[in-house]
Amino acid sequence: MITPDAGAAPAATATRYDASSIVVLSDLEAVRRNPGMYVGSSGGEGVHHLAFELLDNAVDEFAAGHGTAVEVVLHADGALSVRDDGRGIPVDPHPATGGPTAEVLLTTLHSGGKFNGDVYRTSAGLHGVGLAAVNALSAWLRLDVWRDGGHFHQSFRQGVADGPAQQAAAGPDHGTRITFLPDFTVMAATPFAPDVLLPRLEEIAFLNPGLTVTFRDDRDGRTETLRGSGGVRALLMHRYAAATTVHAEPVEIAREDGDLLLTAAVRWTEAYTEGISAFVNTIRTAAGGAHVDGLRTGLVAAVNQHIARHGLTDRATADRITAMDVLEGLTAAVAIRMERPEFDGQTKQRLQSERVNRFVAEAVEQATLRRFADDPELARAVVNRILDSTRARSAARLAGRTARFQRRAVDIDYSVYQRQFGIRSQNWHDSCSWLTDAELLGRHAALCEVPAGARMLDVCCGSGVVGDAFRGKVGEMIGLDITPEMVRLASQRLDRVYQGTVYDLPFDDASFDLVVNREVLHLLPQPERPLAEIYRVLRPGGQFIVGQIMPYGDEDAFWMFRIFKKKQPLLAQMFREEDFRRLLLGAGFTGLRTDEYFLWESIDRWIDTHETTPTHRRQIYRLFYDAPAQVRAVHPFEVAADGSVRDRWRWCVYSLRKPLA
Amino acid sequence: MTELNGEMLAELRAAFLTESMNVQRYAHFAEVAGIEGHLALAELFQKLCATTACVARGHLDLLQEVVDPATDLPMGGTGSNAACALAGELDETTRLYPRLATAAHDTGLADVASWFETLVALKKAHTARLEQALATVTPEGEAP
Repeated sequence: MITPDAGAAPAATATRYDASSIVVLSDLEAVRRNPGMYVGSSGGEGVHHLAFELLDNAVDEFAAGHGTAVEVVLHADGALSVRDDGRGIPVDPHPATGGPTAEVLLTTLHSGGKFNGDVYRTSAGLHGVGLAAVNALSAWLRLDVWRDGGHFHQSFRQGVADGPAQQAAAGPDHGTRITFLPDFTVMAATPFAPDVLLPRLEEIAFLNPGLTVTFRDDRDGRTETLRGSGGVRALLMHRYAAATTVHAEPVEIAREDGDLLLTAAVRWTEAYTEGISAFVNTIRTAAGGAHVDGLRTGLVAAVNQHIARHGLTDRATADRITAMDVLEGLTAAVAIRMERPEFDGQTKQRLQSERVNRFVAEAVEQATLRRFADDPELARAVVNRILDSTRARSAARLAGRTARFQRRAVDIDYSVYQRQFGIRSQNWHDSCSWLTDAELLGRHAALCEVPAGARMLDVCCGSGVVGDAFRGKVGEMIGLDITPEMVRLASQRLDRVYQGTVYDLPFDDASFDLVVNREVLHLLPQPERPLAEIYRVLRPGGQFIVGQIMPYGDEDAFWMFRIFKKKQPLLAQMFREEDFRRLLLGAGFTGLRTDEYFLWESIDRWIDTHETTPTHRRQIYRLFYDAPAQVRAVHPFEVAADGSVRDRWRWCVYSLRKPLA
Repeated sequence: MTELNGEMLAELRAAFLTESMNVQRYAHFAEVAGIEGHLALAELFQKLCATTACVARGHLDLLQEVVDPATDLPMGGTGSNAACALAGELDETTRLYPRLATAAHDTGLADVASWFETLVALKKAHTARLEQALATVTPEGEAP
């Protein structure tokens, strides 16, 4: 058993790393024809992958016990260099070709020390396509090697050597530096971005105690020195520093067995989304795989055992705790080192290994149970958090049923709305950007045309921000909401707030000059009825201002229905612009004016809520990732390299009048 | 060779429906298995999904010689296929989904009704696109 921060610099591997350990297999043109196959994509992700490939090679040298520093420089001309102080790539003549081994490595696919398992015990790089693939996809590349008292350098263009290698005497320095500019004729013209490079450099520093990683951006003079010593625990604390945690100290797991070495740290947070950073031989595995699978399995087993052993379920939650409940709000960093890992595809997105799965699951289960036994306070906090998820999931399922009603006898279970928005009131304004977006609120207020001293009703007012946006334009500001928590929140902004339902407003006919409402009617079955109530309480000539999110057209409405229904099971209808207009005019309103406003919403934040189940959350991401071309053609959204999503929402704000007679 | 018709044709059409449905079921099962962390099962479902899609297309290879199983119109070349697609989408936008939306409203399923309504709109858009596309295709048997 080892502790997570026990990793000093690893011991040197006692093997020869020279020409005889490099095996020549094949050729390069294929890489340029199909970059995606070798580096994951020909887009911005692929461009950064080229840098990561060099980094991984440098880290491999450190892991094999050679060198202590890696330096990454982003040059003024857009090129990038990675330098290590390892042994230096072998430059002696290669037995298969007679040319320098370094040149073979840079020009021949599948030629690398990593095909021969002895040189690197647990290597990170891409099984040897690495250097050759980077070279093939570079407009130019310069290799510098310091080794055996000499300085060797050679230049390449699009993977082909400019000329023979140059060699000069030098001091005792050793190491490798590769400088290259991606070839934007075969890759997307995406410049290297510090905000993509730095998180990876941080991970490398945390996961390789003893290694110093420096980053310099020559374009703005910025330098960063990253030196991690805390392993996965420190990485977890750093990465999720902003989260509200359920327990202060993470649960740590460490185990070694044969070639397998696991370190992991897990901590539950009050967020709803799961965040797992997973690594195999320090390479991030974005799509997880056996180690992540094992971590989840182990945690679920441990929690269920603990709950059963201590009889902690109540009648409402008994037998209904699922894996998704255990994983809600979980943050984790898990790193495994192993020999000859197998992955799906070339870019190591997903680890495949049944033995790793079993090894990790068992280690995690045992370590977690031990920690629960040692720290009852932590166990209690975690279990309560999980039982809360189970209850929230039941509430969400109930909400899905509430969206259905009998046509004649409307029988709405108001308590479901109260529960949903009561829980959400705890972090209402953090739950998405649109709620407090000043420009959006301003667009509503800008439509206001009522006499000074007018009496306003903010109906289904939530925290009262919409009504508050009309301050100064109206006299008395009244609010109404169904949820007691929201009534309390809104009372801080509006003059008076009533608790009640929009299906049966507790106000006299013709008692308001202005009614305002935003993003509510889609949640209400039979929206004609609340609209009739709003019409009733307005005085003749009074104004109604209402805002709703709308699809862009016929081709994305069904897709938005799926997303919004998964986000909020109370959704009763996805209005299309023309349906909504017809509904408003059908209620008797006239004098329609419309304003349109586009707002970028963070989907990650929007769905980080109790009303969205963990399964739905993942499905929502999939709906964005796999959106049909016809949807993409009309509905703009952005998926970042880390998988997060920003959606450009189309807000429509309407102004209408109740006719005078 | 004996013609494919009668009961065998009906059975083949039914089998085509079953396998087409299986493609979607397996795709869904794979997604859920992946989310729940059952990676091996997710992979198995993905493989079943891919293979089953190939099976369904095999059924269609046979059916297309006789009839479009969705519209009962002749299919095969792009001209007839586009006509089949248009007929199908047209039926869905004018008959199938409006009827389902009304029925859902009548039974109090507001959210289900709204879902069908978004599909009426979608299919209407598809119909318009297909009409445009069809105008550019020369019917089979005619000189271009």
